[in-house]
Amino acid sequence: MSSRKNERLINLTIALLATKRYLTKSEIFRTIDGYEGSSESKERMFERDKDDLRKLGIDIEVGGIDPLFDDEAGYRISPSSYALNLGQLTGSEIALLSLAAESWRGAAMSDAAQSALNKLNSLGIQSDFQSIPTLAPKMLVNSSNFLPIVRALTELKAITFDYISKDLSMENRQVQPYGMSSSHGHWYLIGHDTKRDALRVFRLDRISSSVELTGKSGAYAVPGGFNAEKVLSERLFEPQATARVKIRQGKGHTLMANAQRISDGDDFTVYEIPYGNRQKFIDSLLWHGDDVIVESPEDLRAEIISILELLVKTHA
Amino acid sequence: MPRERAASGLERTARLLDLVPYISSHQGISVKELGEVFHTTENHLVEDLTTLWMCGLPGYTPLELMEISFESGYVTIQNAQTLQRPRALSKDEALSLILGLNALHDQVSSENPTVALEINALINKLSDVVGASITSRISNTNEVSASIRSTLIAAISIRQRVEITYHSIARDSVTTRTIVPLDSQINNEVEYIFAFCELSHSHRTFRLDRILSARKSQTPMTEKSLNEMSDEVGKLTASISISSRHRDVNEILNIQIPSGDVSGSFHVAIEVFSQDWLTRAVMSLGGAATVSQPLAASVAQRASKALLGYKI
Repeated sequence: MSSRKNERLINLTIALLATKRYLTKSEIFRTIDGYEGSSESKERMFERDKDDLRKLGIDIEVGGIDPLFDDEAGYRISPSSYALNLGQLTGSEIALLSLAAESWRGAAMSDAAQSALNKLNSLGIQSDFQSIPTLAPKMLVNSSNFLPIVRALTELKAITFDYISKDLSMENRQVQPYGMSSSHGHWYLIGHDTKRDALRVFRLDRISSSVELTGKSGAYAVPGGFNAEKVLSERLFEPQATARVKIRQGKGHTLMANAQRISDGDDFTVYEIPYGNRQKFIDSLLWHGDDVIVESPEDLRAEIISILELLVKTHA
Repeated sequence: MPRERAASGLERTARLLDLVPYISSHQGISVKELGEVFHTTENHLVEDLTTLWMCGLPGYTPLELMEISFESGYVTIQNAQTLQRPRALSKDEALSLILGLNALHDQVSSENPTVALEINALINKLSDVVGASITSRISNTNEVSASIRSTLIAAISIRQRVEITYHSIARDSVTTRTIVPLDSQINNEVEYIFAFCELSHSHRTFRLDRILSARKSQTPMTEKSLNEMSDEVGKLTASISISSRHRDVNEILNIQIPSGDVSGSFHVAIEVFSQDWLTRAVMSLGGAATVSQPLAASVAQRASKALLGYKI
C-alpha cells in the first residue's frame, strides 16, 4: 500500500471523526485530500477505503438521509465507538493489564497483546505495581493455528483442517468451533464436526495443516450454556468403568488421583480405580510395571497379561 | 501474493493511527524507543512520521495539519486532538488480555484475594469487547502453578539454588532435592526446567507440572557441586523399531513417524536422558515399539517381573 493511500485513509478517518454531522460523498471528495481522477475512480477509491477501515475495526456510520431535501447518504465515525473505553482505569489496573499482555511474550497472541498494551499505554495513566505481583505468568501455546481458531470462535465461522487420527492417518475435518480450553499444557478445540454430525474434541498440536476459515460469520449457533472447560474435562476424564488394582505400597502415585482404597495387604494395597479412556488406562498400568497388578475386570487383566507376554517375547 | 501485501498495508495504517495517541502521551520519546515499542525499524518509523506529517483536518493548511517534529531524534506531536485517544481494542487484543488475566488470577488468587477481585472486574470489562459468552467458551484457568514457575525462572538468571519437591513419574516417588535451574524449555507445549540436580550430582530435566513446591535456598553452591555441574551432560542413544503406526508412539517418544501410506516397520534412533524412562515408555506402548539391545534386556526383565505378579 502506498504512502499516498495511507495518507488518504488517515485523513478520511480524521475528517469522519471530527465531523459533528454526516458528510456526504461529494463533500468527502471535495474536501478530503487524495480523492482524484474521474468520478468512477473516486467512487471505487472510497468503497475500498471504507472496506479497509472496517477491516481495522473502525465502524463507519451511514445516515443523515433526509428524503425531503437530499437523497445522498452521509458518513461519519462516532468518537465513542472509535476510542478505547474501559471506564476509569487505575494505575494498578494498568499494571495488571501490562502483566497480562507480557504473559504472551513469544507465544501465539504476542502481537495482539503488544498492540493492546501500546493502546493502554497511550492513555497516559501511570502504572502502579506497588500492590501487585511483578512476575507475569507465561503463555506457552505457540501454534500458528491458535489465532485463526480464536477468530473463527468469536466470529462463529466454520473451519477446516487436516487432523492426525490415532492410527496416524490424516483426515480432513470440518468443524464449527464452539470453544477452546487448555488442560495439562495442551490446548483443545471443541466443536461440532459437521461430517460426523457430532461434538468432537481436537488437540491443537494434532492438527497437521493450517486452519482455514470457511463460509460466513455467524453461520452457526453455540448451544446455550456451553462451557468449554466443563465439556473438555468430561470428554477427557469422565470415568466409563472401574478396575480393581493391587498397587505396591509407596508406588503408583499417578494412578491414585481418584482411587478408592478397598483393602490393605503387606506389600500391596487394593484400590478401585475409575477410568475413562481404556487404552490410556492400559498404557499407564503398563508404565508402572510390577508395581501394579490388575485383579478385575477379567478382560482387562487378560489384555495386560498378553501384552506383557508379547513384550517379553519381542525383547528377549 | 497480493492478499498478504494488502494485509501488511493495513497493518501500517493501524500503526499510523496508533502512533498518534502513543506519541501524544509520550512527548519527546526517542525514535529508537518508539521503533522498539511498535516493533519496527527506525527507517520505517521515519517513513510513518513523514506520512503523518501530511495528515490532518480538511483544509490541510498548517492550521489543520498535525505538527510532528522528529529531526532531533526525539518525537513530539501537536495539533492532533482528533486522533489523540487510542483506538478501541480489537477482539484479538481484548481476548489476549483476558487469557493473560486468567493466568494471572490463578497465580495470585490464593495469596491475594483483593487483587484477584480486581482481576475479575477487569475480565468483565474486557468481556464486553469480545461478547459476554466468550469467557466460558475460551478458558485457560487452573493450569500449572504460576508461582512455582516464577520462582524457578527468576533463579535461572542468577544461578540460584532452589529446593523443590518433585514427583518423579519415572521413579514414581516424591523427593525433596536442591537444584540449580539453568534453562527453561518448552517442548510440545509442555514446560520443562533443565537443571543441575545436587541430589543426583548430574543434570536433569524436570517437568514443571510435576514440581510440587519450590523455595529459594539461602546458601550458595559448594565448590564440589560447582565442579560437578561443569561436566558434560550424559545422554543415551537407543535404537527403536516401531511396528504399529499409532499416534501415541509419536507423542510419547517425541518423534515423527511420517504419516500417510507407509507400511512395514520403521526404525528410529532417539536420544534419552534416562534409561528408566525409556524402559517404561516402551512398555506403556504395549508392543508397538521394540527397543534394541542392551536396553531390550531391561524391558524383557521388567515385563517378566510384572508377569510373575499375575501367576501367583
